[in-house]
Amino acid sequence: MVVITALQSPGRFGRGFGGKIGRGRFASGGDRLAALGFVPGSRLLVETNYGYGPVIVRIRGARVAIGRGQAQRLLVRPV
Amino acid sequence: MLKNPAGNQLQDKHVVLVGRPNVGKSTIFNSLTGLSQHTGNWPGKTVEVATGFARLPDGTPVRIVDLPGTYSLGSPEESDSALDEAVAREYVLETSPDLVVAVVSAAGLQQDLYLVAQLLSLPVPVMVAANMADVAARQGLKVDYRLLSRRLGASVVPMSATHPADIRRLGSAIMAVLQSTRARNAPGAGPLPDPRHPAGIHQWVDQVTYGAIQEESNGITTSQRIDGFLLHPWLGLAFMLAVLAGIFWLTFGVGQPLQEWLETGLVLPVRGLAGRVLSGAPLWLRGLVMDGALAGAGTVITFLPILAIFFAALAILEDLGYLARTAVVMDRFMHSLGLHGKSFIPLFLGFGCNVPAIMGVRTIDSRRGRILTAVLAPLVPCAARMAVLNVIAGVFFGARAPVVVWSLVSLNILSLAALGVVLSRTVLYDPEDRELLMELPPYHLPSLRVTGIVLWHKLWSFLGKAGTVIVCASVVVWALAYFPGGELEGSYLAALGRLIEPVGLLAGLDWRLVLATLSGFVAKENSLATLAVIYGVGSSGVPLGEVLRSAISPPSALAFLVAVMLFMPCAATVAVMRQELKSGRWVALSLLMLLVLSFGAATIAFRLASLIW
Repeated sequence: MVVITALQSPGRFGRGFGGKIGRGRFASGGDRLAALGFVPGSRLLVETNYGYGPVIVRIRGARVAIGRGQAQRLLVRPV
Repeated sequence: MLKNPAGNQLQDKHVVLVGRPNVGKSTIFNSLTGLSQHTGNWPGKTVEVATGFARLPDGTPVRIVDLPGTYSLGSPEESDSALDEAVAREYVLETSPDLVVAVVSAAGLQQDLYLVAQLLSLPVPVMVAANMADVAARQGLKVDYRLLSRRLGASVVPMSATHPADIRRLGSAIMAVLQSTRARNAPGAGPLPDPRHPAGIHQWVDQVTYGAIQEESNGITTSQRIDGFLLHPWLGLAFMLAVLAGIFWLTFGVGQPLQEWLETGLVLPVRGLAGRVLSGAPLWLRGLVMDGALAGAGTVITFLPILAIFFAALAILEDLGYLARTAVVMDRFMHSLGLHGKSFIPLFLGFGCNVPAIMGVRTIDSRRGRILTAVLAPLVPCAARMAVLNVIAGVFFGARAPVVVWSLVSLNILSLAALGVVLSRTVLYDPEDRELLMELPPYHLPSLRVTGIVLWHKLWSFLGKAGTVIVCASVVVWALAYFPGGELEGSYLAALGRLIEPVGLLAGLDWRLVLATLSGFVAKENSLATLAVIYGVGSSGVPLGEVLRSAISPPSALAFLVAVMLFMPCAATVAVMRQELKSGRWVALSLLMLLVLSFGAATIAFRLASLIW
């Protein structure tokens, strides 16, 4: 199993399976990440990653800009 | 509550709009309610909700409330769920509206139905306005809205908020739901998910949308293609700077001539007229009306063209979807100041005028971000301060003036950065909030009608709130400068200046310079006018520059400039800060910080300069 973060190179799909966000609230109800679809099992595509600034991720039909620090803590398995 | 004599049941029905940021919720609200709206605090809360009245197609009025944009409803167990999320849930539960209209983007249904699923579990009727249906169609998305409606157990209205016909259709749909007797929705897609479990909600949404959304083109959308250029680290930055340069060109190329025209065409004639009307009146009354009230009102009016340009530009950029892109482009840089990328545009607007900068913090979605940005905004040197700086630096430093100007502007920017770093790591520390997390809305053309409505409300609210403060401040400063003797030298204001003088002298500022700094509170450009009055430029006939050069030493002049550049914001800025932050504590704290900062920096500048000269 390859464990990488959402900072992987563009154009690859990944399946989110965990990660610690902030105070460890990965999948709690009030969490905006969870509302956007960043929950275990969801599929995401890294659309743009310039190696600088936020990463653009495609998830559940939407394009989401996510700060690098946050993206680094999202664990994704390539599929 | 008003009773309709005809006994119309729809009288005073209460409809609430809920939705994510950037789905066009405010556009729908503005289109439905037009100019009949007001913003006010929800009793007991620090959150502002906009309320307006709309007429349904059959002519009955409905009260429409626009809640702050939210991604989810949060959950009752989580006390730390973001403020806006808690607001939407609490508002709906506490006021039990007659109907909740969930505004979603037809181009992002998989995302937006999350909120709808949570809303459906509340004991209120819910309907869905699927906005940007045209954008979805252009992206090659085929949506079966009837199937969605059946599965959600709620009516779904595909629409585009910029088309008046669609707004009328939404009105009819609202009327139909209000007339039906159903108390809550019965989803056809099976039992509702537990609103506290995100993964379960997403699964339910997948069931609802399965087969109802078909993506015809699997290729790259227009928005993605545009973003390849606009989000590029260097090309995107260059484009953004060009856009900002365009806004500034509009401000100075169109706004300033308009401002001067208002000054000569409206303000001066009115003052002249008042002067003739009051020619027989006592001197103090003439002073009160002309130098106090009318001078203040004149300042307010001449502010308007520049504010209108800034607000219109901001509204159009936001509606286009471009504001979200500037946040991405600037995120990395702003991050180092403890800020979001979203704070960049408001702060940048501050170079023209701090007032739109602070009114622009509304586009930032966290309260912490709004506070931090508004507190830092007064450190952006506005055009009025630059005018004072250029004039005084030219008088005292001759050929070295550009260096002085450049250094002082840099001092402001560095102070802003330093204060941002300190505040975001101490009082306003929140590691979670500093991360950018934002949906990129598809680009779409803004509606000029809605931009006009937004502009009207912003200017009106500025005139009402900030205008009153400026006119009052102008009258108070005039009175302090006039009484008891009728001249500035012996006035209360001069006495105040002399009282502070011992402290001011630490920074080389005598009572006159202290006074000039203080008078900048009404409007920054007043500092120059006050200097002219104190040094009696009008009576002696000697130009201001020569008078000042003979009376003030260069180190004192430098200290004065530092104080003017860093010192408290003008009355208009303070008024809008109070209005946007809804917290007297933060306004007071920010003024105190600026006072300490400006005085400290002025003292250091004076001491260092004294060693050189």
